[in-house]
Amino acid sequence: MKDHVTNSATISRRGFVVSMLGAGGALVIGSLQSQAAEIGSTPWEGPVAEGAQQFTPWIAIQPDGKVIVYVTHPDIGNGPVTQAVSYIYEELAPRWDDLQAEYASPNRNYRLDNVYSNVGGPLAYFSGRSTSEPRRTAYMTAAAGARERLKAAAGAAWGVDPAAITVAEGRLAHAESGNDAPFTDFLAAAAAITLDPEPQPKPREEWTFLGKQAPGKIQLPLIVRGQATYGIDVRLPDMVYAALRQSPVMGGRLKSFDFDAIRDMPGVRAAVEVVPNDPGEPNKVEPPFPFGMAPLTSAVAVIADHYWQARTALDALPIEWDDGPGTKWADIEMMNQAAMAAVSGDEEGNVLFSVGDVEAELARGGTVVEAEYLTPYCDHVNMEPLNSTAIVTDDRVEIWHPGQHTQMAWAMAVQQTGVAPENVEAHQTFVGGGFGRRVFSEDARMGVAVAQQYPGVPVHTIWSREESMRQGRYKPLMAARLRARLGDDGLPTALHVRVAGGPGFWTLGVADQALPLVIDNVQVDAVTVSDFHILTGSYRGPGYNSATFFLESFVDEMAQAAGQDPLDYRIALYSKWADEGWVKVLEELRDKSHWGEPLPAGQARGVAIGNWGMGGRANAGTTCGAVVHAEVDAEGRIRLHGIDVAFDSGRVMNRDAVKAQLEGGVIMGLNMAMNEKITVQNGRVVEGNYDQYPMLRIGDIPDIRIHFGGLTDDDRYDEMGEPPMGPVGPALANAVFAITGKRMRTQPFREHDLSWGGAA
Amino acid sequence: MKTFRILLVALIVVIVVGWWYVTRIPSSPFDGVAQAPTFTLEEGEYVARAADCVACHSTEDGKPFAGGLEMGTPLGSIFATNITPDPVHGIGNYTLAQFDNAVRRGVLPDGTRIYPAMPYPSYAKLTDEDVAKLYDYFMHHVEPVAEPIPESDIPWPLSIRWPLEAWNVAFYRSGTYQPDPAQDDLWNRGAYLVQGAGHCGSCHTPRGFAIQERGYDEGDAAFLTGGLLDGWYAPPLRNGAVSGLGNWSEDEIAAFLRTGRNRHGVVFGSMMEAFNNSTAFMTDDDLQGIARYLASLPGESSNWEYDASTTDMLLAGDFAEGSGAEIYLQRCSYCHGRDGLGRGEFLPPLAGAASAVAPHADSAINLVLNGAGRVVSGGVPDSYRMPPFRIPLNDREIAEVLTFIRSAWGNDASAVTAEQVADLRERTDPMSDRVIVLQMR
Amino acid sequence: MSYTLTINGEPHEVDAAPETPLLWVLRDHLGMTGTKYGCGIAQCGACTVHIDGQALRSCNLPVDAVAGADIRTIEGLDQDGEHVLQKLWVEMNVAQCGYCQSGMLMAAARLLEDNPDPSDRDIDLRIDNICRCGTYPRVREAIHRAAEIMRG
Ligand code: FES
Ligand code: FES
Repeated sequence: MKDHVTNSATISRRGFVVSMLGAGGALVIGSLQSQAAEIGSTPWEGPVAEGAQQFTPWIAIQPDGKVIVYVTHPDIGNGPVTQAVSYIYEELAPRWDDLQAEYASPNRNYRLDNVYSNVGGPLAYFSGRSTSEPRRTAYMTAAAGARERLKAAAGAAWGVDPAAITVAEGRLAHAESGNDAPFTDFLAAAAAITLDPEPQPKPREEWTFLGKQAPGKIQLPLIVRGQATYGIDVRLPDMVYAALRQSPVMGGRLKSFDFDAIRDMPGVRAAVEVVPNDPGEPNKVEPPFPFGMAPLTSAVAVIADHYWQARTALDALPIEWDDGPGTKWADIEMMNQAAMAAVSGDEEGNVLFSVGDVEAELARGGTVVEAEYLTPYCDHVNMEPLNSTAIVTDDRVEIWHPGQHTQMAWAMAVQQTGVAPENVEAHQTFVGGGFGRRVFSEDARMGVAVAQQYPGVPVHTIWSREESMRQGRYKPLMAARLRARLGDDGLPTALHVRVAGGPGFWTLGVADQALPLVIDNVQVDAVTVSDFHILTGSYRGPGYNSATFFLESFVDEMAQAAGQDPLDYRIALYSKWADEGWVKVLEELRDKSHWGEPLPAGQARGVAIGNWGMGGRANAGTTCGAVVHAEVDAEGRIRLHGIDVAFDSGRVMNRDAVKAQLEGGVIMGLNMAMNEKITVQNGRVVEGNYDQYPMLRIGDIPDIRIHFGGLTDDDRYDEMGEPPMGPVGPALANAVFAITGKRMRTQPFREHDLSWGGAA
Repeated sequence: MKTFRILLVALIVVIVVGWWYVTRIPSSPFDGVAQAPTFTLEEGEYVARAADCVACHSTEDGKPFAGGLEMGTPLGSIFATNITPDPVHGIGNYTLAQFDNAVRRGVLPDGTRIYPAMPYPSYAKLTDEDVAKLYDYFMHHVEPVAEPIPESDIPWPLSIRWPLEAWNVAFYRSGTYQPDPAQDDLWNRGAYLVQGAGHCGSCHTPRGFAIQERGYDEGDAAFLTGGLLDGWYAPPLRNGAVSGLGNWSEDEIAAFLRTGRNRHGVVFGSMMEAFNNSTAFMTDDDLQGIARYLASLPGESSNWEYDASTTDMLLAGDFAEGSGAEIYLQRCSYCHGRDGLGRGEFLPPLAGAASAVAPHADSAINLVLNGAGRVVSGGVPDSYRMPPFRIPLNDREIAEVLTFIRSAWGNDASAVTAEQVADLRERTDPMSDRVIVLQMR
Repeated sequence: MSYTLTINGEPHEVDAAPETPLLWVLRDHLGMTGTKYGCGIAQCGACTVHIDGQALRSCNLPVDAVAGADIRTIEGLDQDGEHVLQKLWVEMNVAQCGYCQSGMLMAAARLLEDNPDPSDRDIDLRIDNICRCGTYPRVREAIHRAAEIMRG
């Protein structure tokens, strides 16, 4: 299929593509309005309105005034789509309500030689962060170019100097002559204009919208009417439903199933097997992110007219599995002990960071603090269970997927089917929560593998909640052992941190934080327990979410050993670090949280701080600190009274979006620390639903106060979703210690008996 | 000296006769039968289903009838035997008479007495024909499994089995079921199934000091008046009281056994297993017979009446923070309703439900802690399982919500204490060292 | 089995097994996908609908038990998004991923219909829905604001 943009795109790949688009000529993909509603024979070539102008692959303006923005990063609830349209709004000044977002198509990206992914990274939520400099520049340059063309066209028509023309609310106006007309009057003329040079985006000082206003997410009107189409809501003509079951012991294989037992159940059409791919399969297309292609797991799926029928039949289907070696783990205690043995043993493992001579310093004696910690497997439990929809034929594949990484899902479909990449399209749908679970896109691949065996019809594969929870890519089980020697001032002179986990566990957030960087003698090393069979992945703030618990609980233990106030101790410690943001955040917390003011018996405040994304550098990433005001009643139950959060991401673009992300991160961080734990019995994951995986609810949530006074105004806009995942848990643990004298060194906290006799 | 000698001889005689008695092989109507009769697979399987042999003689992950299920006795744990036709580990070398002695009299071919964890006092009522069908089924239609079962951990001398004969003398009654001519055939068929193969009394009849059932047929006042076993309270199966089958019609009893549910409730706990393995496979006629028989058993009269004031109170939010009513509203009412009436056959009522007004709250506590398994009807697991609240609710909360339920909508049962919940929480936790070991089924 | 369901005031014919949960009848048989599947065991509230004026969880309601009932779904809250809660939800940027929000809105709408001036505790009791994204603080705020507006 030839499209109108291709030719122009080859002329100026990263520069401007301005073309007149006839009906059917534009590439409108994954519309946020109605992805699933109109599916034609070549569905991803759906029409833009007659006479629309496409100013670069980033925006199109339609004759009805709608401005379509092609967004390269899926919105998983954090608002990057709104951020992208905000860039356009800043430069182009259309009516806000005329802005409409479409997801950029990975198929188009491929055919146009990575027109999108060359700018700011893959078509993915995380690496293509909406506030990253290159992406912002691309959007703003495109919008500025469109604006200047429209002004030039109007200037020519009105015989006035384009520079004197102003734009606002989708209209062009020339004050002196009194001319005033909508953009749409000049679309065709603007398309013919060449600018040399292309205009630069406005410098920050001239922004009137970005950073000043805080628009809510543009998709909210759809959400509140129940009209947002999530992956699980995709409905296509003749679609059938599949219910999936993968080997209950990870790494196991299907032995057999007995389709005859369910053949006659209502609506049942087929049962198909998903056979794992060869481990060494060559890549059929370059994976867009250096994870490599996620492998298939052994599975069986029942296909029926309705999901309920498929699921009921799957439950009734006799299946035999060959469980594989994972069954050796009789229970989670065995795995915990293996991880603890790894950190307390002598094996040095992989040295991540080393400076000075730790052992010699520790051997000097004096006050030596030592502690061991453990964090469990946790599941993301995105509210939308995993699912994907695919039509596979011999030479064509189309998938609809609620992913965090559209381009990866597309690549997975290519990889799984071997169909030519230009004939494979992946539609990004709304996403019912990401949190890292939907990055690797193995779920997209499973859906394609199922549909492959029921070709020619759209197959909608749903993981039940139980299947989603038991086939997670979990936050890894991790153990840590920390030892420190304190100097005369109470601050550490040596620190040894050893962490352990299963294959591929995250060490992010251990060696790259301020703590190891402000001590003279440090060693951080990591030991892998190689026979853990449970698959792990990236869970909001990977590595950092456990590491901050280890480091910042330990800092509290050091402060206690030194007999110092935990917050003052941190200020003394972190003032040695080159990034002033740390102390600024701590001071903001001290001032705003009423730190030090007396509380009734049974209540206390705890503090913790960390940085997501600093990677060992100053003035990088987002520093985030929290003070948790907690109560422990005589029964040992934790009640939260309030949480103060301060942070330094350099600058912020949309204050309310930042606030929303931090609130969400605080709540998820709390839930992780207090409640979450995936366990294993005979190799199988036990927990399958919320009854065994408790979640905080509205009544459990205290006042969460987000303070902006920690911002250093350093020239960066850093991330917001992950940062609170680090400090909230340890801040709570530190508060609980202050109340009860009980130090919680393992998560989840709900497993600790905190009864302490009450406020006598 | 002479007296001594007489005494000695007498003693020897007593010992010899006694020893003979406690180790003797009882006689069987099949003694000397060389060629056991054969039957179809279905005929034998039906009796095995009715007797629910698989419930004890299999483990969850093991092969059918290969044994291995741990069962508790007052002396220690024993393990259900391998009853597949494997000649070494199973019963492949049993004659029909030997098989009969094991099933109906609790005696192994070498004279060893079987612990009465095996319900042979009930199976004693089986007809000769049903025993022959069972034998044929196990010999010819069950896959042999060459797997040993674990050794019992009962230490010597407690592991000596012959004293069990004393138990038999005291409690065991021989003889197959004798129809009551005053009753119709349906009733008699039901009585035969309930007392014999169905061994309903194993759970539903209270047990005496020697863990014997306090009654094996309707002639005993205690028969099927409810029993506590393995952390569950099996309610009375007699007519009358709300905590029994008082509100249930014959058809409803039959439907319960056929589909696992009716408008009064759904099977759970050990009854769910009995349903999934046994009653779900029985014929309508047999189930109707059981219903007829149970409905004929007299019980106390009921005076329960629905009281809507609880519903009003829940709607008005008129209750204290953290109270049982509040927990009910948040955790239970979405399924069981603010009116406590459930929804049709799928979501059982709690108002006036046997499980909610039972004199012992064990089943209710167990169910709230651990949830219900899935009822398998027609090979299809059902969709409306009760989730476990072990994690979300603590002992006090479970006690409060159950106390509320047991006194709401006209229910009038005793309060539940946090200690009761704590005890069952521990004893149903597989990781605990006080975990309940099944005793009888 | 064939059923006539009254949903948002309109009759709908469906053919489904009696035990099929209302959730899946709405989503698959009738294509009304605004009501979401989150857990299937009445624990999360994503599937909340109104049945005869009660906010209930449709994943655990067999269609057989709701035939004849008055059923209201998110699609019937207000198609144009003009319900005061919908407007505030947009204005106050309540939703994150949005997946749980149909259920949140249906629970909140019912709460306000029953109680025009809910306290924090009333909200805790009646808005028992799970939101993994952590929108709880905004949900609470928006309900209070809506109550104020509705009281005039
Ligand atoms: S899907 Fe119904 S409550 Fe979760
Ligand atoms: S907004 Fe995402 S789950 Fe609630």
